[in-house]
Amino acid sequence: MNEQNMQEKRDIIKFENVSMAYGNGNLALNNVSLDIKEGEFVFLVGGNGAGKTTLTKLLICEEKLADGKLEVNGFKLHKIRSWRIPKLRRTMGMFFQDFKLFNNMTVYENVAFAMRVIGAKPSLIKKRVPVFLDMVGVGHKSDSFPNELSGGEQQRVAFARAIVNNPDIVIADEPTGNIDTEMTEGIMELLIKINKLGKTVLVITHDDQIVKNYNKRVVKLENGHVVSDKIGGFNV
Amino acid sequence: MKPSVFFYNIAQGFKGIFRNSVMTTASLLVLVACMILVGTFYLVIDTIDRNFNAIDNLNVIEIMLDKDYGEKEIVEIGQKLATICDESPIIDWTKDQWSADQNVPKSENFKFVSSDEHLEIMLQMYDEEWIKAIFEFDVEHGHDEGDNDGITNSVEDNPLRASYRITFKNLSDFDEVTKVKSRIDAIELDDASVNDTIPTEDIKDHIQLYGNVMSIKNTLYFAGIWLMAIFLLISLFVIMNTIKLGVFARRHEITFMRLCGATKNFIRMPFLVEGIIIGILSAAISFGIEFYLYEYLLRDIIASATGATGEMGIISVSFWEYAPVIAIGFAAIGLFAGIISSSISLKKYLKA
Repeated sequence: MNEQNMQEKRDIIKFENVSMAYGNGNLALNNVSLDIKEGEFVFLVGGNGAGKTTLTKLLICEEKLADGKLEVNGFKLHKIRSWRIPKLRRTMGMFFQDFKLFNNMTVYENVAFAMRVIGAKPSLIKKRVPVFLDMVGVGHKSDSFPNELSGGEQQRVAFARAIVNNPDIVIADEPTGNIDTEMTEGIMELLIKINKLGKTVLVITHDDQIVKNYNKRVVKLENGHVVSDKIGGFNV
Repeated sequence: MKPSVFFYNIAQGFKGIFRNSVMTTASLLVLVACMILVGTFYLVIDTIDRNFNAIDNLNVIEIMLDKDYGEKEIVEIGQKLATICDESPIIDWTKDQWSADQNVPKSENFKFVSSDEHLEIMLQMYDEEWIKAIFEFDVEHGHDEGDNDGITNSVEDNPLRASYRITFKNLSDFDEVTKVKSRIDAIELDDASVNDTIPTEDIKDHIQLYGNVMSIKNTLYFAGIWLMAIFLLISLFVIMNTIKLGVFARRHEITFMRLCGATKNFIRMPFLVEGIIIGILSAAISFGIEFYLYEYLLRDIIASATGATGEMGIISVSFWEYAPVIAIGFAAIGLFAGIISSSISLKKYLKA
């Protein structure tokens, strides 16, 4: 997507002087301002304690911001009512480092579960789940349990589950942590594929290698501040 | 809520029951114990009530008048009693009900009963021969059916005394009943030829009996309520732990559900269903046990404890007369315990 096209897009995530402190009084985020356009692919990088996790928690309303304004996909999170939070979360897909697949459910049930919990009709679930499993290349494993799959296959199931509800924003929290190069490439391929379909992708990582490999926007956090925001890789 | 979502959550609730079968059984047992305790107290108290209410003239106080009192004293006592009745909130009588052409009151709740009327009542209840033997009084000799409502005797040698009869609306205000009794005790006659006051033994009532039974009932009530509260708390605690185990086992699912955008109600419902199932199941089991307990044990125990047997024995009704109250009560306790405990168990996991 070229720069001109991107400028025409709306801000899907907008941090405006956001600060956030935990109980001990330490500022986890300090006056952060950041705009992410619809359809953008952004790496959020930084070391331990930089504020990446806090920023993610604010996005999904796991934590409340102390100061500033935050708007996500039209939801004003600085004054959101608790009953609106599920609606906000339905516009996002979360992809976790450890996949968080349920071993007591089959591959099909794992993906269907994400649809079922938001009250999707059984007929829609039946129609949609196989499509997404085929899309990530594990359609033939739908009756298997996660512990019968390889790491790469589990990763793909988790990815299918993150996008099955057709979210506008996909948040991948350390998607390449503790996995080999081949799997890392696999997951990045999927993220780029979904980004090309118009979804906004936010990848939280401290893996500078993948940041360098992909020429995407990189936002660097340090001690709760945005210290850098530019296109292209750099040292995390 | 969509039917598919509703049935999905119901099914999840049933699954939860079997997931922690040991804790579910423990919850059931404690809740059943609580319900049986409550039910048994209710049945015992109600049986006491029924028998107590069956005692005639329980709410009547009768002031027997000395045979030597003349019309003047009788009317004076009547007027003083009228003031007491008029002022007491538990006696449904006012001075307006005393018509000017009467010397004595003749209302249902406060009335003068002449000795002749007493004799009439006695004749309706007992054989003449029996009365003759007891009172050494020949009924045929002096009885005249035509004139028996005068203030003083019309029947010659009638051994019975006239009285004032006061009927209380109810006896639940025991303090007020005692107050009325003391005021009657304290009545002083202005110019009495016989007694200045009414002798205590001439004031007949069941107030003491009523007080005793009330005290037993109150003790049972308090014991019942306290035991119920304690057992209910224990039940809540055990059910809470059962559901907490279920919640803990599914904590990753719950977190995932929240992040996917599941509503609080959606997450809560399976656990709520689980709590409700435990509650309803306990109510059903308790109902069955209470039936057998009452029909085959409790009635016999109450009867033998009071020494009442046979046809003249204690009044007790069939369990099925209590069934609606017991069933509704048990279901209410079960639902309350189930809903409250599951809601508390989930609170921690349901923050936004």
